[in-house]
Amino acid sequence: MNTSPARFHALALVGVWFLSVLSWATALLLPLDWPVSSMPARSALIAIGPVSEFVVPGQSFGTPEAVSAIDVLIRVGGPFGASTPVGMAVYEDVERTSLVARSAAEPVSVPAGLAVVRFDLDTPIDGNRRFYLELEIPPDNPWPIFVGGTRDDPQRAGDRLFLERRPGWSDQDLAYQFFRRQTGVERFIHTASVRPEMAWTIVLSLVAVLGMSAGLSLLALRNHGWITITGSAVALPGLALLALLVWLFL
Amino acid sequence: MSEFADFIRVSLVELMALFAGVGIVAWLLPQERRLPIVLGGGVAVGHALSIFVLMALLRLLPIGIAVPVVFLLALPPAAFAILSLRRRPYVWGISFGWTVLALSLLTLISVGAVVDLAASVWNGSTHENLVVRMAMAAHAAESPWPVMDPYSPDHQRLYRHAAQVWTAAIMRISGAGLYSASVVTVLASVLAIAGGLFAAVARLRSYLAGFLGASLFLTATPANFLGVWKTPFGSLSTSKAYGLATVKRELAQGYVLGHGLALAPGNDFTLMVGLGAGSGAVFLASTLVDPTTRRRTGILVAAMALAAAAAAAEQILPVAVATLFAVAAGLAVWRLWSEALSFAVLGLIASVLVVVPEGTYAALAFGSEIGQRAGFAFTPEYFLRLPTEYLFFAGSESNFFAVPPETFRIWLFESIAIKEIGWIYVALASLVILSRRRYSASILAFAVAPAVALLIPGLVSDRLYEINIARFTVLGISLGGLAAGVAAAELLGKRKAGLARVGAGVLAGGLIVFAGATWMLAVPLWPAKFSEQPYPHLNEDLEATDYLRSLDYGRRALILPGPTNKEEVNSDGWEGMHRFVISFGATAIPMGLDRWGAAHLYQPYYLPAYNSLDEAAMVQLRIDTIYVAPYLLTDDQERMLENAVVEGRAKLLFESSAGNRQIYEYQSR
Repeated sequence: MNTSPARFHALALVGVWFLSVLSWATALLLPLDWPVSSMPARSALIAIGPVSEFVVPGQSFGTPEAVSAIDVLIRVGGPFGASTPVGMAVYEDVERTSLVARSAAEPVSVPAGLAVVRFDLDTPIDGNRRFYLELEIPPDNPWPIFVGGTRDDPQRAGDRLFLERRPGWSDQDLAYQFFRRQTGVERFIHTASVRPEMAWTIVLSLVAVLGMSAGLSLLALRNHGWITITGSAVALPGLALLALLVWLFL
Repeated sequence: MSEFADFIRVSLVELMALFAGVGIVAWLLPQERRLPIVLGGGVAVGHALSIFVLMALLRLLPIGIAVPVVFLLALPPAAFAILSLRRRPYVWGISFGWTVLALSLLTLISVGAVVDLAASVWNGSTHENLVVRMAMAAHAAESPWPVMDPYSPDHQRLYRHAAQVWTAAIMRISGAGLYSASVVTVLASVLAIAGGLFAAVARLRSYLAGFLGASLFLTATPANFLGVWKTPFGSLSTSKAYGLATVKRELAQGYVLGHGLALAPGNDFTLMVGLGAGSGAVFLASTLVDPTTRRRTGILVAAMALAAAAAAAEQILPVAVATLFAVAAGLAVWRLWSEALSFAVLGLIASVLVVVPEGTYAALAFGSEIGQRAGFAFTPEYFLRLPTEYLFFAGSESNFFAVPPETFRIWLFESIAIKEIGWIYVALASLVILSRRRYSASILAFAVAPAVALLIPGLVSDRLYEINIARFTVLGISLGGLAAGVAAAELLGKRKAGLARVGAGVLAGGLIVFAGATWMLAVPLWPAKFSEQPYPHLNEDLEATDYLRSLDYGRRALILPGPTNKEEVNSDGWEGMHRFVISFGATAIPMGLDRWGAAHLYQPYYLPAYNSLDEAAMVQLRIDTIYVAPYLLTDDQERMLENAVVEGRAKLLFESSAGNRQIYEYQSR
């Protein structure tokens, strides 16, 4: 099948703009889980447990901003590959008067011992508030379960570990990390409000990269029209940004 | 708003100095009509000459007079530049695409430099090196000449004064603050490096060689990107983004960047200033083979530029002079006696002029009774070996690419050296082969310079701080980038067909990727540099340091609580307030920081002063200020301070808006 040069240019034009729109739209509008708190260093971890339906592990905590998922460290003591369902319930306070959100996951026994387990909350919880979470181990669970904890973590000052719904050691906490599901645009707006220097860095770098892309497009496509050149100039950084987000988040 | 006005004022002052260089270049090269070369070379020459003239005048005049005189002297050449640009038929001669690409890359590099500096100043990813440099600038903006070591205020810090003094000069003239002056100094240096190297290489070879050479000089780093996918983030988080953010310093310094100019602004911005001046010298040297230039004056100006470069970063001189003599020897072999003599004379005059500015070389030549001099030893037993500390990180846990622990030197062709900087060897080999095939000796100079820089640590050791000899390797990596850029341009410029053309393209592309990809891949890390804020009362520190600067210059402070030695100074402890006192407050902390600063004379007194406000020690150190973070005091420290207040030795002078900082005046009984 022969394709005329004009038809080829038209196809190239459509392709370039399609890639531009797709890459930027995906990078800016696809919801992603952004980390909004820290996970303790591996060297600061302790194993707490075994925990069970009776020895319920809980933790009081404050949220730096809205949270839609929480990672905790769980070790399933069975043979590698064994798993058990674990639930998470988030309450207004340690008295458990009001349930705020729920989640469930199925941690698996791995050679590394403690494994990161993600609990996607059915309802995002508010930022800048205090809550209490509990892990719910099913009564028919056959394996010993341990949870990851940390000690003397200044970032968890004011938080507290609970076992059997009673306060645990004052310097110990569950090891957890918060995530917030947001699009790139929403995250950027939030970042700009709390850390404008980060936002400026992103904007200026993007502008410069767009300029470089425009220069390269002008050189490579000098025999094409402005629409193709502009499309290519926008597509290259969009694809690079998309590749970066895929590497970082998927 | 006032900070914005600060930036505008200090930028205009800096621009006048840079523009004076354009006038000088326009006069030195009356036949040159290519505007990018006149502008690029001009800003580098202006940057260098301003610094040299300032440092020379400081030998004769008080600093309060020398600084305005420098800017008065800059006026006529700046005016000549404007006249020339209006009257001479200059041509731009670069296509729109290349112009947009080059200026955008320059913008990106400038953004990276400012991000690195800003994150170091405000977000604690700094080393004490930067604090000392900025403190020297802040003190030079207030003190009579010579400026004393802020950590050893009775002694001079006898090394690389020039960048700090220049920053102080633009602060004095513009009335701008330390931060804006430091940012503008760094940006001007980036501009000078890019402009000077581009113009020099473009004059000798082509615009493409100039663009690639200057770009890769500024972005060259060890090829750590090869191991980044294996990087042991050491984090249990499932989020790579979080891992990148939390280990940003390790990533930036070790796993991703290794060492290159990308990290200089936030660690030792004097290197940027020195290289900016050096680029002016390189540009002028590139004009010496042109019979239409004013060669004799050009030699003198180039020597002054090189002396300024060496006064800002001493490692530049040996590499530059060795390269000049090598070029002179090459020209002599070709029986180009006049040109050979020009290069040899340039090297000789620069070696003499380098003792004019106060600093490392003047102290080495004339000695000093009030400062610690640098010391070097001839150590040929390290021949063909590179220093390792802070330079070579494997980026993976592979034993094959690891530096054995406690190994301070490795062979040039050790497996990790080949992985990290093997691209430099390929670039040098390419240049040698290309120069023989094309009978074009001018590209050999670009191979000689990095080779010299990489070989020097194999012959010379720094006796004050062993690690400091690694500065030559850092310079060698940037010069390797320049060599890779020139080699890539030469390869791409080959007009061959078939396999040879494909091979040349692959080699050129490989050189560009290996030299610059690590830098490019680090661009997404830049925002993470701002992710931490270890100074919870930064605004109050700035309120307090504003107050300190409003007092008469010459105060000496005890920081309570605060660091008492170099290791503690280098930490973020005590909310980092010592960093702001000594730099933004232009106040000395007489603890004696390191071997440059006569620590052995201050430490025995600073410790008792710190532990008990010992009267004899306080008098000996002439401490007249106590800078206090009241909520960080221990019970004993609180009692000690209360006693001093009751005894009338300490009197509260200032309290910050939320009470997290206090300044006491201290008087002995």
